[in-house]
Amino acid sequence: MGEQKSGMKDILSTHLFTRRQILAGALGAAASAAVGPFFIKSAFAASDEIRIGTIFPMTGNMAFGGNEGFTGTEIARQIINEKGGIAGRQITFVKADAPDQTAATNEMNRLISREGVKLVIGSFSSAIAFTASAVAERNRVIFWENHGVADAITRRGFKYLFKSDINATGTGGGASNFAARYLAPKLGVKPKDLRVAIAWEDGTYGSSVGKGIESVAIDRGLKIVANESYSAKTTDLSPVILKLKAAEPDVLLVAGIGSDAVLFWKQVRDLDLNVKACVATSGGWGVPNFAQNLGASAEGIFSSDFPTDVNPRALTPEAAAMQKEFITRFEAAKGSRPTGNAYLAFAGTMLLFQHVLPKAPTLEPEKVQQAALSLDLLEGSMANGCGCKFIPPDQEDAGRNERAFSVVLQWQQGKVEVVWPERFANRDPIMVPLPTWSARG
Amino acid sequence: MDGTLFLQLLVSGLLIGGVYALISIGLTLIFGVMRIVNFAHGEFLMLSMFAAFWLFHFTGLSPYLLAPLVILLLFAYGVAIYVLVIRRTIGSPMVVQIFATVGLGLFMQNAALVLWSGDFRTIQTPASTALLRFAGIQVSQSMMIASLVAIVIALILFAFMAWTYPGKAIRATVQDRVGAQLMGVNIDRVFMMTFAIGSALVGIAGALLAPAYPIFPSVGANFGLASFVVVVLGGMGSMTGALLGGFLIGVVETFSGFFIDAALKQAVYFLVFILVLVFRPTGLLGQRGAEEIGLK
Repeated sequence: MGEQKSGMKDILSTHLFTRRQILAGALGAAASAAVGPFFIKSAFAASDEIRIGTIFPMTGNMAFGGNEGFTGTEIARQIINEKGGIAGRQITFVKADAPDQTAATNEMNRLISREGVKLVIGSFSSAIAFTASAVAERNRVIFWENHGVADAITRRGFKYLFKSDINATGTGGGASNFAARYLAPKLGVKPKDLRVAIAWEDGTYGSSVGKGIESVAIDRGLKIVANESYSAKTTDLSPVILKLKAAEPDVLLVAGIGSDAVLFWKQVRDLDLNVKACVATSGGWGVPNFAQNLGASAEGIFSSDFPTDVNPRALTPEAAAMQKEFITRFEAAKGSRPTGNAYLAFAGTMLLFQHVLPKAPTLEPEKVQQAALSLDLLEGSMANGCGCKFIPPDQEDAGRNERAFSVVLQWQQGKVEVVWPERFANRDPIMVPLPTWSARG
Repeated sequence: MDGTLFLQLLVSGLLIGGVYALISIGLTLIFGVMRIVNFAHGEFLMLSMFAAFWLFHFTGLSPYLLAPLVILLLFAYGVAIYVLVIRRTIGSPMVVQIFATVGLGLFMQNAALVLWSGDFRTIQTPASTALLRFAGIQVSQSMMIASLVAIVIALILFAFMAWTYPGKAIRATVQDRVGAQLMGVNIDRVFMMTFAIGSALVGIAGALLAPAYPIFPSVGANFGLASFVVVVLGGMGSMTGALLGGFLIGVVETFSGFFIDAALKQAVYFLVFILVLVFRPTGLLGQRGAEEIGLK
């Protein structure tokens, strides 16, 4: 023990390295830096393939959504490859799994520096999109996001980030818009007399959606009688529900992210809060799980959501054919209808493969950027019904697709159906006003 | 403010408080006897909720009928975890016990993620949606049952400790391990029994909460925090303290959520928590030096 201690002291008191060692080390480092790039696989290393990175939470808490997103992306790749690829070159994916933000950073670094990819598609989650796109931007790699909705993602002035879907203000605003344009006339009141109560979970997702609901509700002149936030991790929402109940709203506008949506609606029923309509904003309210968990009491709830199975009549013939193809392939792969989230992945990736990459097959970031910014696709051009025009880098919200929109879905017989706007709808809205809980039994 | 609303708030607060108490009783028992803070407690709850869910899923029987089975399963799980993990930490420094139980919790949560994915599930039966109406208010029947059971269990446990031989053996062990051993008490068995009973109590909580809440791998964390506050507030190791602490936290949370801001309700109950600890460091019903004397 004593010997060990003195040995330790010797090492500490003398220099750790001799000058010669340091010199040799420096030479070695310089040599490996010079040689290094030759070991990095080039983007087109394996003959003539286009290598693209994908980053999704394939495991962990968000695995369900992440896998769905990847499936949508993968179907787009298969379709394009079967048609002969892009400029005759097949696309291959380099997959990365990012269950959380730390993993997102690490995996992005791996994709870029070890795999040498020049373009990454992602990512299902706002949080992962936020982190992963920052790594991409630093390395001048294009980040193509089809899912994350948080407004903040496109508020950082990034040049190499493109986001094909709508943002949170848009989905939240869609709920208020629907209340003012459809519910108020249907209920026979003017928007200014429609009493709306807003509730949102206070995480990144819910707070940005909640702000969207509020700002559009103010624009449309709705009468806001309550505006409440809560933690999605809470075990009891009765104070929130009772507060909303005391405000006597006609319509509830809510943003919930996961299981809190189920707890919320369950407690609305338990505490006998009767409203004429409830308009949610995707998140926990739009997933298949929601109705499975609530059964009949989920019937009639609206959700301002990503476009899902929109009426093919509203699509261009090419987009309609794509939609059909997508549904068939998705059902074959997953055994269920594609959700809005899967549609985003597919439509956004097809947009990239069909309209952007043919103009920039080398994936040179500036070229891809130019090609993306030159897009001017009208509504109905994408498989989910959206159009596309990206906001240029010098403006606010750079890289966001300003022609992405939300539609209103409704739970009807355990399924979500597109009910509004009319041109995209497959069904008419039902249960307006909602029957009271005592009448529903 | 009208009377009905006040009553509704009070009842809602008492109900969620009852739920907190129900979850906390097992935790306080284990601490009181073994001086081990089980940081995996929330995950035990998660596991018992999943057990209730799967039993319901495969048998279709009422979750209340299945409760005894869940309790047995959790009792057995408690024995297994005691033998595999906890026994090895007895007499070790606090840090070892913390790491062991935190690690166990992480393991359970991630195992649940792998086995059952991150999706949430619920048990849907007429019982889970039934409502009770009285005095112009209505409450969820499943929450009502959970709260009443919390009170009954606290009383039974109290009686068990006070008047039965195993209860006396447990108390003797708490007061003086060496002395109890000299009197022929098998300490190891007392510890195993206590841990298993504590685990079975969480089983009861899980079985009763499964019809009322969505079930997912991290559900335990949401309840776990509240149960730690309840146990410390009530006095560590005190059954009736856990009951009182649970109801207090529930009522404070509901009223502050309504009158101040729902987003701040946790901040408010932590404030109450801090105040209690400042003025009564042993908790409401705890006794001085609980870490040496313990169970009441």
